[in-house]
Order: sequence, then C-alpha cells, then structure tokens
Amino acid sequence: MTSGNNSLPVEVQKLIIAFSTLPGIGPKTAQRLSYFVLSQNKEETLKLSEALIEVKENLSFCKTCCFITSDKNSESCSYCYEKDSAQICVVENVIDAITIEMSGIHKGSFHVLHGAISPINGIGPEKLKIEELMKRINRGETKEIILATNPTLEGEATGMYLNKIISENYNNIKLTKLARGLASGTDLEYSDFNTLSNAFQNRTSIDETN
Amino acid sequence: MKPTSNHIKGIITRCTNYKEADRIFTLISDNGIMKFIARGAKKPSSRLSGHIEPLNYVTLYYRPSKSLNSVSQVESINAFLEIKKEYNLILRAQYMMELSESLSSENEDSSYILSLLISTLSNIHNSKIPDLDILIFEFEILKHQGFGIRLFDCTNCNKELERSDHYFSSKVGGFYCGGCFESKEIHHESIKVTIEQQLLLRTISRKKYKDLINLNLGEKEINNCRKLIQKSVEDIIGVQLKTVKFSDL
Repeated sequence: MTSGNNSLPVEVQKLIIAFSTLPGIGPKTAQRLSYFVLSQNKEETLKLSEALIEVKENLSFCKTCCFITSDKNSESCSYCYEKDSAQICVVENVIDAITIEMSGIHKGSFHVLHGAISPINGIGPEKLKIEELMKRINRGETKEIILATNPTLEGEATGMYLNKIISENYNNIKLTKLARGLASGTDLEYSDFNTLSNAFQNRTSIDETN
Repeated sequence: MKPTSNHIKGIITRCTNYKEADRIFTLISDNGIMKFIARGAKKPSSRLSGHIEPLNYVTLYYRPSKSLNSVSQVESINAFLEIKKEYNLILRAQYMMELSESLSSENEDSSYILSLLISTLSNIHNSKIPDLDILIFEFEILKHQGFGIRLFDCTNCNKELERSDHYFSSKVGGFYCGGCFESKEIHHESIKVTIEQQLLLRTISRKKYKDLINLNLGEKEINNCRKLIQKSVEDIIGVQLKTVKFSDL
C-alpha cells in the first residue's frame, strides 16, 4: 500500500486492503473500487454487503463432493444424492464443475479438488481435496473416474498423481481423462507442440466422427 | 511514439491467471528474469494460449512497457513433452526452474543458467539416473554464480583434505579437515560426507562425466550430495525452495 493512503480515512483504507485480497485486484484497482463504493448510493452498497454475508453464512463446501452447498451440517449435499455416484468427474475448481454441468454432457457426479498440484507455488497433494475423493471411492459405488483437470502443467501433474494413487489401490475402477487436442475455431498454424502432439495421439477414425 | 516490438528466447517458469482471460508469466531468458502479460491467453481461441505454459522454451515477441511487457506473439521452440508425461520428472523440472529463478535477477546476464537449464531438461528424460543430472545441474549453477563448493582443501586451515570422511558446512561452503572439525564448535551445522560422496562431487567438478559410470553410484550417495547442495542453496538465498519438499529425497 502506498504511503499516500495514510491520509485517507481509516474506513477507506480498510476497504482498499479488503479489495486487494481478491484475486486479480491490485492496489490501484482496489482504490478505484473503493471510491466507486463511496460514490454509490447506500441501498446498492448494502445489497453488496448483504450478498457477501449471505454467501459466507449460508453456504459452505460439501464434505463429500466439495461442491457448494447450503446444507452446512449434513455429510452429503442434495447434489450428491441427485447425481449418479458411479461416475465421478474430478475438476479443479467449482467454476469448472458449473461449466460442465451447464453443458449437460455429464450426467454423473462431480468432485472438486479446489486447486491443482503446483510445487513451484508450494501446493502439494495434501492441500487438495484428494482424501475426500478417496473416502468416496472407498464406499464402493464408483465405477468410473473422469479426470477433468485443466490441460496445463499443473492440471496434468494432478491428473497423473490421481491416476497413480487410484490405479495402485483400486483395480476395478475405470480411469479416463478428457480428450486433449485442437479446440474448435483455432488455427492449426498457431497451435503449440503439446496441443498438436495430443491431437495426433488422440486422432480418431473419420467413420467414428460421422 | 509507438513502442517498438522486441523478441527474446527463454523458458517459462511460472504462470498466474489475471483478470478475465489474461495470464501473467515469468520467463528465464538470456537477460535474466522477465515478467510478461499475455492478454486473452486463457481464451481457447487465443493464439497464445498453448504456448504460455510453464516448462515451454519459447520465442516471445513483445512490446516493452514500464510495468509488464505485453506479449504479441509466441513461438514454441521446445515444449519438453517427454518430461510432461511423467509426474516425477515434472516435479524435478519445477525444482530446477525454481532454483534457476532464485539464483537469477532481472536485467542480469543469465545466458549460462538458461543454456544449462535447457540442456538438463533436454536430457533428463533419457537419463538412467535423473537425480544425477540434477546434481550436476545444481553443482554447475552454484559454481557459476560464485557459490562453488571447496572440495579439495579445508575451508579453515587450507590444508589439502585427506582421503577420509569429512564434515561439510554450508555456512562456509566447504569441508573441514579432521583437526579443524574437532577444534571448532561446528558439529550442529555440519553434515558428514563419505569418501564416495566426495569422490562423486570431485568428479563432477572436474567435468569428467564419463567417469561417473565407473563410480558405481547408488541413489543414497547422489541424494546425500543433493541434500548437501540444497542446504547450501538454502543458506545462500535465505529460504528453502518450495519445490524441495516435493522431490523424492
């Protein structure tokens, strides 16, 4: 925080610091947001603060699938009961689960890891919701695990780690991962080596696609 | 005046998502550590997306800026795909990238570090003992940065070390002979190093890599030497590297 902020009222300084903790918000943007809040009328600001409080008071993460739930005290959320637990799609973040859910492609349940393995950022497997996933598998209902981690270095490393520990401990579970390759609307000439390599490895017969 | 476009080669060491679809990343280049912003790189249709990934050796075209240089075009030179297929190699590659980052600075010639990193990353997947390649990398990078380990004489009395086990102190960057070790109160900060481990380090220091095959190296010797070097790194930079605890040491 710059020294110029010391001349501001304490309330504004606190607001700037609070906004700065959000991802992608630097000190300057935090200042801009704070001044915007000051210029807003009281009703709109109260709506924002109420929404923030409601999210924290009414919602938490499910102890089973680690997705958002309003059932704070129960072991499993309503989503866990509704969905087919024989097929679990493992994703890095809540937003990934929502994106897949909105597409309507996946009918099974989800498991949110809340991150990916990234040693360079100090994130190891113990910081992810892997233990919760193992508990779910131990119930014996799971037939397939779909690894839907992001196709990044961290996402791939997480997928490899999960593949290793699940295949070592459970022989009867089918392990799959989302196809890697060219995305719709991209130009081949601008593709990177990794994407091209995956696209060639996972190429399909033309008969299959028709 | 419109800023000119520059280009530079380097390895992307880390990436962070920023705003809706941007990525901020760090590159280790000939000119040291550099930070860039790739606007829209998270979008699937972006021409930058697949290239802006850690462990990619790339050529970047960018517009220089006072804060973050903005990337306009990227070409991959080597994506080290063989490393990306193995979990243990990814962890080791991340360790080497963090070590290179920690011993480099901005606007400082890092061409040797970059070439050492590229050559180690290019060979590690074919190596029978990947940890030996990493040990050589660690040893060479410390030596180049002026933190080389004194292997042949005592760091206290300067006498040539006899052929026996000796004690290594990362604080002084070398070994104590038997007499100096007994006379000094340094037992708590010293690591006992066997003759075999000293021989391994000496062979590496003389760049006689072919002779390493004849040493009949065990994992224990290599890992103990790596621990010794990592202790030195910890003392040099003042903190333990985040990736150290993820290596199988």
